[in-house]
Amino acid sequence: MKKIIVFVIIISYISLGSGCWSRREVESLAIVSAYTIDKVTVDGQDKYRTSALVFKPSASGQSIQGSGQTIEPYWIFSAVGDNIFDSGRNLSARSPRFMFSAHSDLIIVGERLAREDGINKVIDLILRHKDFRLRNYILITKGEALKILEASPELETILAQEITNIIENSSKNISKSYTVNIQKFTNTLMSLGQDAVTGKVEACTLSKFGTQKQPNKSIRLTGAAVFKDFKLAGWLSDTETKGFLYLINKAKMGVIPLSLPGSNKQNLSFSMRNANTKIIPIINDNEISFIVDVKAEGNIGDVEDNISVAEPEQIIEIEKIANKKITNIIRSAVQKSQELEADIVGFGEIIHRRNPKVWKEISADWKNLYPYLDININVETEIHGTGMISDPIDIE
Amino acid sequence: MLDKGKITSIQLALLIITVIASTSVLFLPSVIVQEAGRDSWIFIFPLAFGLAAAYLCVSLGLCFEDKSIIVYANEIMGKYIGSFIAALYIFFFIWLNTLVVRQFSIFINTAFMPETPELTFKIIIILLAAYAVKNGIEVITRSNQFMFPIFVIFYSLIIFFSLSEIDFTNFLPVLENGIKPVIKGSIAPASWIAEIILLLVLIPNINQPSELKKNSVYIIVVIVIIFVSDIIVTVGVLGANLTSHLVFPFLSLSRYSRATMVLERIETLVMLLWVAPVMVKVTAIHYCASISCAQFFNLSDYKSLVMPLGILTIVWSIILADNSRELVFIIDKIMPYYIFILALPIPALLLIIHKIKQKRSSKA
Repeated sequence: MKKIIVFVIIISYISLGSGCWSRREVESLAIVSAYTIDKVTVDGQDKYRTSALVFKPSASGQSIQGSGQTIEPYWIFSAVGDNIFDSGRNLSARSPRFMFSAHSDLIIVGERLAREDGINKVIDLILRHKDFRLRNYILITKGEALKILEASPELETILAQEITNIIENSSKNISKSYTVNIQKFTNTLMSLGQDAVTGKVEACTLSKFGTQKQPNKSIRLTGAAVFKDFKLAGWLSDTETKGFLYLINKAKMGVIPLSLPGSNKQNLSFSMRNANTKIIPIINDNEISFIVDVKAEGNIGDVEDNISVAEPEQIIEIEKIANKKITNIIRSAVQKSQELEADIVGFGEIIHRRNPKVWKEISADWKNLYPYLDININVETEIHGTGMISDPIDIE
Repeated sequence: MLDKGKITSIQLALLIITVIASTSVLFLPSVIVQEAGRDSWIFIFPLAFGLAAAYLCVSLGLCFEDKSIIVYANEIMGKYIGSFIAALYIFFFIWLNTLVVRQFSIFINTAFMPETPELTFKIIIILLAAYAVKNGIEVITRSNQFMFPIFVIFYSLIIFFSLSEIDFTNFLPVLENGIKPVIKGSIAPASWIAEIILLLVLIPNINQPSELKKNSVYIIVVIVIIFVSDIIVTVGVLGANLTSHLVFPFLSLSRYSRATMVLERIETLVMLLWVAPVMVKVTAIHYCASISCAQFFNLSDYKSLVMPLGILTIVWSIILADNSRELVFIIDKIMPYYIFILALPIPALLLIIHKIKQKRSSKA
C-alpha cells in the first residue's frame, strides 16, 4: 500500500509539476525573423525606430476566399522610442504576442543611425541580450532601413530567409557583396589595426509584367559599407567590393569581363574558380609597404566576339589581360579605402601580427599613416581551359 | 569517523575534477582574457601552482590517513591555533559554497530563465545537495561517476563542433606585452585549481590512500587540459577582443558553433553540462562543510548540521553580493588570496611542524 501511494505521488509530480516558470508557448509567441533600426526625427526631436518582421505561420499559403487575394505570411510593424532598446520594447505595445527574437537572423541598420550615432550602439544591444546570436548578420542600407522590409520575397516565403539564403548560398558565386556576422564585425570594430566593413542591402523596383500581380519591390545585396571609429564612413561599389574581397582572400568565384586589345567591348569573360591572396609587409627602417600577391585560376566563361581562343599563345595573352584587369579592380578598392582613410583590409593588423615591435611604435599614428601607404599588387592568372568548346562558333 | 563510507582514490579524483572544472569552464575565458588577451592559453603558472598545492595537501593528508585537517590541526598546533586554522577551513567551505550557489543562480537567471526568481534555483540546488550529503560520501561520488561522463561528452562535443571555426591568427602575436599580464590573468584560475584543498577533508574516506599521490597529479593535468582547451577554442573562435567583454564566453561559443550547417543552437548542452556537475560541486563542498563542522564541535553525527548549513548558505548567497558584478569582483579579487593562504602556507606550515615533531619524538 505504501509503495502504491509513493508511486502515485511520484507520477503526479511528474505530470503536474513539469511546468517551467519562464515557459513560453509557441502560440503566444511572435517569432521575429528580422529587425531594422533607424534614426528618425519626430516633431523636431531625434528618436529611434525599430521595426520587426514577424513570421505569421497560420497565414502561409492561405488566401481569402473569393477575393483571390493572398494574405502575406508575414507582418511588419514598427515603434518609436527615445533610444534603441526603448523603441524595441515599444513594439510590444502593438504586438498581441510576446516578441521572440531567438530566431532572428538579420539586423538591418539605416544609414542615418550608422552615420550620425555610430554602429556600436546597435552592437552593444545585440551582445547584451541573450536572444541575439553572434551568428546573426548585420547589414546597412542606404536611406531608411524600414524601406527594405517593404520589399517582398520572391522565392522564399519570408524576406529574412531570402536575404540569409542569398548571403549563405549565392553571393559567393559572384563575389560582389560582402557580409559579416556579428562576431566578426565586432572583432574588426574593436581592432586598432583594422576598420570594419559590413554588407549593404538595397531595395530595387521591379517592373510589372503579364496579368499576374508581381511584387513591385525586391532586395539585392550589393557592395559594402565601410566604418571608421564606429561611424559609417562610406560605401564600396560592386567593383571595389570585389577588389576588397581579393584583398581579404574571400574572392573565390566570380566573373571578370575582359576586353581584348583592339576592341572596346567587354567581349570575353574570365570565369574565376579559385583565388588566393597573400599580403606581405615590407618594413625597412622608416618605410612600410605591402606586396599583395594574388593567384587566380579559372576558365574562359564566354567569348562574345569572333576571336580565336584555341592556341596556347592566345590563352597567355588573355591571362595577361586578366592580370591587368584584376590588378585594377584591387587597386580601386585600395584607393577607395585610402580615400576614406579606413584600413578595411587590416594592413595594420598584419603588421601587428608579424612585427609586434614595429606595430607598437606606429600604432598610435596608424590612422594618419595608412592613406599614404605604398601597396604593390601582383596578380597571376591561370586559365585552365576554354570550357566545352574551343573556338567560338562561326559560319564556315 | 563520522562517515564510514569508503571510496577509491580514482572516485575521489573524478569528484575533485568535477568540483574544479564545472564552474570554471563557463567563466574562465573572460576572466583570464581580460588581463592576458591573446596569450591566455599560456597556462604555466596555474599548472605549477596546482601541482604545488596538490603535493602539499596530499603529503599532509597522508601523514594522518584516518583524520581530517580539522582534527589533526589541533594535534599539531595545539588547541587554540589549531582550532583557529580549522575554523578558517570551515568558514572557507561555507563561503565557497555560497559563491557557487550564487554563480549558479545568476547564470540560469541571466542566460535561460530571466523571469524566474533567483531564489528558486538556490533552494532547488541546496535541497538536492542536502539530500545527497545526508546519504554520505559514497552516494556523492557515485552520482558523480554517473555525471562525469556526461560532462566530458558534452564538453568535448561543444569543443569538437567549434574546432573548424578556430582562426589561429587570433593568437598572434605571441607574448606581445611580455609574460606579466599572463601571470596576472591566471591568478584567479589558479585559485580555482586550489579548490583541491577539499582533499584535506576527504582523505580519511579513501580506501587506498597510497595511490592518491599519483592520482593528484592526474587531477591537475586533466584540469589544465580542460582549461587550456576551453581558452584555445573560445579565443580562437570568438577572438580575444570580444571574449574579454563576454560574461559567459563558453555559452556564447556554444551558441556560435554549429556542426555542418545542420546541428545548430546546441547551447542546451551547456545547460546540461553546467547544471549536473555544479550540483555535484555544491554537494561536495556542502559535505565538506557539514562534516568538518561536526568534527570541529565534536558532534556524534554530522547529519543534523546539513539543513541548517544549507539554509545559511542560501541566505548568505543572497546577501553576499548585491549584483553580478560584485560577485565577479569577489571571485576575481578576494577569493584568490584567501584560497592561496589555505592551499599553500598553512599546509606547508602544518607539514613542517609535524615532521619536526616526528623527528624529535623518534630521537627521544
